[in-house]
Amino acid sequence: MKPILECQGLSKQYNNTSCALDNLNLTLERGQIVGLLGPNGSGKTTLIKLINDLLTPTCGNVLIDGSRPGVESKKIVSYLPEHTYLDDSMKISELVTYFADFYENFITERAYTMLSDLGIDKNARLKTLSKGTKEKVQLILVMSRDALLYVLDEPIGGVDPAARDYILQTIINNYNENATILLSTHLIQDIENILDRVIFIRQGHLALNATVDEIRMEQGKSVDTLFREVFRC
Amino acid sequence: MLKKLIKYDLKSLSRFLIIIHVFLLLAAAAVRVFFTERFNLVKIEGGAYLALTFILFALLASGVSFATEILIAIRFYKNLFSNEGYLTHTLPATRKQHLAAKTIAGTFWLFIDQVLLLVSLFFVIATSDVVRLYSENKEAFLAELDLIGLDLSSAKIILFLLLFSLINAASSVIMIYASIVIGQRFQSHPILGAVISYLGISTVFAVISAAVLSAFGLFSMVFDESETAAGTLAANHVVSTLNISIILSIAAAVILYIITQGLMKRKLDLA
Repeated sequence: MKPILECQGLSKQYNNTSCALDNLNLTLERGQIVGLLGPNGSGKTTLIKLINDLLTPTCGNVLIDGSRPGVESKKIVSYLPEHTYLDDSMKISELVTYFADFYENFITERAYTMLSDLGIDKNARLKTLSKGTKEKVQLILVMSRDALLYVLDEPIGGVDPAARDYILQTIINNYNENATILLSTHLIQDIENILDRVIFIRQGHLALNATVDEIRMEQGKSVDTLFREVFRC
Repeated sequence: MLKKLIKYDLKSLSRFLIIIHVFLLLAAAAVRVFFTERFNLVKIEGGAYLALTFILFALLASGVSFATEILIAIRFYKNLFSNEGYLTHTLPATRKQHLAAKTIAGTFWLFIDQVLLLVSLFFVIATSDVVRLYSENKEAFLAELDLIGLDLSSAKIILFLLLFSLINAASSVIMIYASIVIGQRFQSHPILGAVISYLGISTVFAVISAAVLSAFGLFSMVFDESETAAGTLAANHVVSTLNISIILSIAAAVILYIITQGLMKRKLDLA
């Protein structure tokens, strides 16, 4: 079976400045939750955008299930960007219909169950909701897809600690065993327990690609501690 | 997929455009009922009020048309290049489909806008007095406009206006989209870039149009008096100018569409 994600010599340069990503080689297998970690400006969001066909690589390739980003990859990748990306004027029920219309793997019932669990009114317009609730709605829509690769950019950055537990539980409960979750965040302590693997990125280069067990067993450290050591200012 | 994209684009555009066009039609009805229908063409009293009413209505109609183009431009920019673009570009659709859907939806609404402008203008002007006077003096009226000799049935005029409006709507929409996509190349000032691109494209188009019309001897409205006696020279001049304008609009639209599609396909860099 092909890896779900492959980056081959992937580079991205904005204008004529330094490379946001520089000759990145990375392979992700299926069925794991992967933490994409690095300090600000390390290239995490650039990598995520390249996976989602929102940026054009300067050179190299990114392959999702063996194909370059395009219509086929978008059918199997469920993406949560770091900021609000939904049309504010739409009602939540309209957004659910929108996702169901465009994504064959969207499970409407799952979305309404999660909305109900969080007490979010499906008839409310998005613009009437708080920032945190909007982020929950986005995550619910993204996790209601039966995707093969979930790419979540800062999924818990804007919500209160109490909601984080529900969101992390939502992530764990709503992906199947063959799916992979690539999750970028600065809140390492909050997510450490759900991660199978971590990838450290520094200045566009791969600094570490290891399982959480390897880090704990071989280095005797938590991911958070190792992160602080590796990226000490 | 294309049908779904068009459905959502039309839905989003219709939200405001229906409201402003209903307002336009209501304004036209009010002008007709309270001003033009009451105006006596024989006595010609209160001409100043009527002129002022026409000017205000023309301003309103221009405003509605401008607002339509602006709303189409905003939808295109917001849906593809703002935060909403993160969703739009991750839908399982090609960029060609996105552009096609937005071109169809935008053209549809700009065409509707132009048709409604003509309808409202006709509604305001064609009072019972005007219609009666026109039918009583049709030959003299056409002679004054040098339109005698042309086969101008109402159906032909309407068909021509609809075709002209459709082509004009499509080329205008494509020009707006091309400007926005080219504006994205100005990474720190994409909106300013779009405005500059629009002005640049419009200027180039105007210069090329003038050059082509001059080449065909159609740029000037000065006629040879001896030939004017034929009666149809001015009419033929207008028809030839419109025909060439249509061909130029189609050519510009095709070229700009190809450029826009190419830029969207190869150069998308969502900030």
